[in-house]
Amino acid sequence: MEFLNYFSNVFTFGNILILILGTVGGLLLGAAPGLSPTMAVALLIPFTFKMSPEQGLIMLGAVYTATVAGGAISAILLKIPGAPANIATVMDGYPMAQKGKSKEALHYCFISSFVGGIIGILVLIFFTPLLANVALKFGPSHMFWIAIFGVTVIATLDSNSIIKGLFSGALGLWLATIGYDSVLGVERFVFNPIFSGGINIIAALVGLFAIPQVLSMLEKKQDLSDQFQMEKKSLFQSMKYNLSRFKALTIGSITGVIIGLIPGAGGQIAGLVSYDQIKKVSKNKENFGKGEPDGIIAAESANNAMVGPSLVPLLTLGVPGSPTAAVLLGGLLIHGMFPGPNLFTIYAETTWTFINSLLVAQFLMLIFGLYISGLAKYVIKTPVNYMAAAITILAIFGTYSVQHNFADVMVMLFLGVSMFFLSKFGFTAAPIVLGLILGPIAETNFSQAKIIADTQNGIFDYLTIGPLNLTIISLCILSIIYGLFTEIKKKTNDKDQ
Amino acid sequence: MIKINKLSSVVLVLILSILLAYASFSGGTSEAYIFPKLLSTVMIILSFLSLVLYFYNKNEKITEVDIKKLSIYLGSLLLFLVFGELLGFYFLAVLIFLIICYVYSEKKNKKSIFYNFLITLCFIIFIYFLFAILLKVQAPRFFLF
Amino acid sequence: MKKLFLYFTFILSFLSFGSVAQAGDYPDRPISVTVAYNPGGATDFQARLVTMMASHPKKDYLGQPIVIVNKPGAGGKVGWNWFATKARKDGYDLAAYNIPHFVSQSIVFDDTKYNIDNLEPIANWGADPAVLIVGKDSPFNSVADMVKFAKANPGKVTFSGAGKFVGHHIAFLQFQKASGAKLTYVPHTGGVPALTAVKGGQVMAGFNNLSDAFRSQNDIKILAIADLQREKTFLPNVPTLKEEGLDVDNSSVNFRGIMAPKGTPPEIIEFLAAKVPLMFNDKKTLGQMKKGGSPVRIMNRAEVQEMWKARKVSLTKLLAGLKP
Repeated sequence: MEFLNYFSNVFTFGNILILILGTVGGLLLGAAPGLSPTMAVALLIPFTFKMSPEQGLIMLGAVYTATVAGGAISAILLKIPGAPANIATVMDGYPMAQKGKSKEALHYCFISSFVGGIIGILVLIFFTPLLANVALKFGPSHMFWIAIFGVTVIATLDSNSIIKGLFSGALGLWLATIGYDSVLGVERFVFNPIFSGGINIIAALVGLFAIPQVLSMLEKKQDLSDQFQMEKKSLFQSMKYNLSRFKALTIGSITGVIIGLIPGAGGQIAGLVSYDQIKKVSKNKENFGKGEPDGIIAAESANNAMVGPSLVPLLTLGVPGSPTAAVLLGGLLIHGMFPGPNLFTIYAETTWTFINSLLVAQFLMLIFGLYISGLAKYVIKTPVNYMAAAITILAIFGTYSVQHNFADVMVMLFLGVSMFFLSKFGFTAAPIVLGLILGPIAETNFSQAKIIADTQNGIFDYLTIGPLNLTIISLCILSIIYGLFTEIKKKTNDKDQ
Repeated sequence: MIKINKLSSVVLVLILSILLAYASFSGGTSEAYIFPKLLSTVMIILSFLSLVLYFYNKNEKITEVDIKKLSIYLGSLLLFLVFGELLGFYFLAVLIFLIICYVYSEKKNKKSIFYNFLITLCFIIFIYFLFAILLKVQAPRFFLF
Repeated sequence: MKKLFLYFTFILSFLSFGSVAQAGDYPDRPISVTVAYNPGGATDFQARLVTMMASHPKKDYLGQPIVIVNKPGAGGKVGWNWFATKARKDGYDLAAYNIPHFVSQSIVFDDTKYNIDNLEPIANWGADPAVLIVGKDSPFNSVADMVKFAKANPGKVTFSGAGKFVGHHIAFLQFQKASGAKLTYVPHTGGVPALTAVKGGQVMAGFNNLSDAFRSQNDIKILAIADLQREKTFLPNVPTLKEEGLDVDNSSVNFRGIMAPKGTPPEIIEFLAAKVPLMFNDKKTLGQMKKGGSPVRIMNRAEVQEMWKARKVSLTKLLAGLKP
């Protein structure tokens, strides 16, 4: 219970002020399409130079927590996930908003984020020594299969037809191979110089989600405010309902914790995997994708439950569990704090103050998040022409600021317009984005696996032998078979009618 | 108005996967092409499967794209692509914001045009504050701004 | 309508802070330094540390802040290609270099647009030698153990490193040549993942940055250092590969510093070459670097030019016949 000794350190005037600023700023940055948590944390690192290590870490931690939750705001209101982690939130969040339940959806999002976040940080506080070495167990073969698992989950989830979903996932994986091979350094498929750096993930996320959404908004010219009445449900009612969805919260938090411990792929797929789980065990499967609160609850509790555990390998081994944690590592190093046992001995005060402040940040995120939920109606009521213009400009500036590269903006707009037409052919953006995100992970680990396997018994053995490999492979196969099964059942049902 | 039916979607998938497979297999013998080759093979198999399924299950659904309505938006994106680095982000952002607001607004009277200008101004100042001052992003500029 | 627009443009131009640069009062706005690696990596965080004093009001360094811009990808190729071809040659676009990375890439690859002739060094801030590491539970306790095993099992010993043709890979190639054993190199996407692979036992050994390996001694064993002398402050007990009887010199030592594109006005380069080493030598900066376990080696422009040329010669010799 060492952490309790340092609790009072959090509650100094300066620290609380930084926490509040970080949380509110993080929520807003996360909500802006094009500004991902990873980028928000990276861009804020220079600000921590002028602060004490404690204050710097508190700010980065608060921003990390809040941007993950903030990304759900635009996912629910605009159908544009603020970060890859929020893709699963779109699936039921946006349909709820369309039914006029945007406030309710946001309430669920923040309450579940809070529950998941607290659980994740408690895991970080109590189980760090126990879980420290888990991250080291994952070698190239396991990471390869986890990436493939992520793609199969999304392919079978967010599509009317599994074949189209798998095709989109493979297309995303293929697009990710454009540019330099990360292992061999060979340049591939650079049809035009703008692709020489490959397709940036944020450019793809913004392009594939935001631009098609703007185009379909303009095409339909739907002023949401005229279409329906906003439904009123009190905060107390949402809270009561949310906490009664025990199954969704548990599945979400546990999945988030487990996936947060896996280095690399972690944060991006936590929400999706838990959404997939809850959909499979739920009694009303057919409601998913049409505005089922359980979908939001599972996805968002997983997203935030991932934050705490993703710091376990970071603080003990210097192995980041998510891309944002990787940037946070830079924040630690700048202040001369190096991951490892020292953090909990020499720097114990700073480390525990940081972890405790993450706990406090969850409460602040809940309070400000719920407040912002009340303002959501203004976003929904904004006339389409202003909305379209604002999203476009934000998308352009956000994409540019990732690496100060105009080619990224070109790729973003090109992908966006193509995706709009592809969506008319019945394709969805999510599997392509997931393919793009997980592609480099899959390929790098495949190439490394191949080099290592050649010194042993060959690539096939290396990829398939061992309990961990077999577990993940069977998960992949299960999710495809389950998806096929439901699709066939649905098709025969449709025919009978 | 462009009309899209189900067969065209199947054909599109087939063409796309053949093109990508061609690129992957003609790329070279380097180890770097193993993974793309693997993927494009999977894509070809999937697209043939969807072709087979099409003949099994022919329920026609036609979707439409209102290309005329969207042409001004698409044109303004093109404007940004071509002149983005030359004329600077802030100048073009103002221009595009005004164009989109004006063309896609319901009412086109003097008052709404005034509002368009006001909102554009506020939004661009917000963008400038967020990116240039807060996040220290140096977007391409043209002469003065 | 037209009038309104003109008026409006006028207001906006007042609001913006940009101004046309004039020679003589350089620098009058922030300078950007391109880092060709991810935020959070060793090069990135050191670059941020050594440039943080640039605009300090009480010190006469640059008088303007330095902004770090990350353009990562393909072991630095993306960022440096951009820098060599697209950077403005007005002194407001600078970049961080990593030797031997960019020199060896310019020798080996045909698609790199940079080489030592189209870049101008300003000053060097650090040097990080590569060290030979194995996991804590590894049966190898010395370089001799490992060479013996590798000779008996050709190709079976796997090495991790931060990518192809970076310092770690150069050290690996020299080590392989000197030991006469066949070894396998597994490129990773950065120093940290490469180190993790050694800790987790996914590879049998690895070359990594001295600074990173030094901090991970709970999980790894450091067998040797690829430099001419031992590292006296951090690792006095670790022998050099030369002492172990292997002919490996300091070609793989990772030098980091700041450069400008060729074509930048000479008076601006002179100005930077005079001020930047002073900025690196700032007491506060040195203190932070030491706290971060980053070995500092400050070199002025003339010394760096010398070093670049020497590296080019030795690396060309080493990499002959290694085109991928």
